[in-house]
Amino acid sequence: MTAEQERELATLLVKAQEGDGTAYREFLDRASHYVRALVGRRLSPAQTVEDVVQEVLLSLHSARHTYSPGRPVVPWIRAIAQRRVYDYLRKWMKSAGGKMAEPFDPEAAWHGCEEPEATSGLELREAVAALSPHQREVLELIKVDGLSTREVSERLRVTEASVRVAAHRAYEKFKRVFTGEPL
Amino acid sequence: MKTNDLIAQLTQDVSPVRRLPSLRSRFALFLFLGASLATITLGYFGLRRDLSIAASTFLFQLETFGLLVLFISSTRLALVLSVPGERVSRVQQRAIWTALGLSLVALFAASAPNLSQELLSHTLEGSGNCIRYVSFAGLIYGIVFLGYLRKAAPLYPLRTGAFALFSAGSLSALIVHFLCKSTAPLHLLVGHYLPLALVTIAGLGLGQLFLKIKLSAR
Repeated sequence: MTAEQERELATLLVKAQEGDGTAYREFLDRASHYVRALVGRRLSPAQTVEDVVQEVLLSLHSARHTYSPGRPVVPWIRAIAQRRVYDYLRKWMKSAGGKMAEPFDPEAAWHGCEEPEATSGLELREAVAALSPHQREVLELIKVDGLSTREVSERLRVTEASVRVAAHRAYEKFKRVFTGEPL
Repeated sequence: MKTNDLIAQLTQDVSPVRRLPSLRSRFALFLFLGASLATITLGYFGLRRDLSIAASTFLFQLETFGLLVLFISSTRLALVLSVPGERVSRVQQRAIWTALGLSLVALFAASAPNLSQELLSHTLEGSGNCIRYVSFAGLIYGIVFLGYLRKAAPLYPLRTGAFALFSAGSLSALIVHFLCKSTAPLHLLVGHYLPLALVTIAGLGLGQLFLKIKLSAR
């Protein structure tokens, strides 16, 4: 998003706070495009992305009074969107440990824009169960919170090499499960 | 439901919203409330009688300064955390928990050599007023603080709740510091700092309970 687009978005939000319905509609419409792109890099398939986008829009609506005019609007939207993606993935991780609530391709979620292949709940359960808690945590921090390897190493108080190894092993395990190779 | 339908629903009859006051004014409000609570309590109970002597000691000054810094920084952190997109320093968050942990460890280490069942029960008996004050005043002030934070949109309810209650607990501990003349490490541990830690832990649950952002039209 360019600086000009961000300024326009901020102006629309300020007008929306003052009760301008047309500006609010325009704001939500533009924000939904930005959020869809952001969420789409993390999640798939399209239906899941749309569900999370709607949750983000609801959260933006509930939190619209917390935006202060003059402050950058994109970090405000991004913080809410990231939190909702994280909440979704946390729920998904929990359900994947038991019973899958809906089809969801974690590999595509980690890698971004790849088109997901049909994946059974059993495979997903197996893939998630194959990760150690450390590997799961590392993946979540890198792919959900968008932290760099160095930031993850600082947060978990481990070396950067250890973070890279954990992430690599996690990807390998996912790959093996989905290609049918033994773990 | 389609996203366009949702947008149409959200924008239908949209009304003006009252913007959240700036961080500076919210911070000033809670410093003022904290100072008012301290003034009222100390005015009602009276300052400890040995204050003029105690105030000249290094330990008293250190504890006063430490609790004041913890109260101010945790109040600010809870307020910052309640607004999406505000940057929060991880170092500052860790420093607060480290300070609490170190205080507990230092007090335990100082009391451990003379620790006995008899001393512990005697201390517990004698610490009733301090435990009650730090816990109840901390919880009541903390719940008021949580009620205020609820008006914002905290994305991290657990953390925000813990900082809010820690702020309230450290204020209560600071007030008790000016009321209670005991300097025994075991009393400070049992009567002042453990209740502060427990109030903070309660903040995790209360935060999760009260601060979850609602996914509905306000």
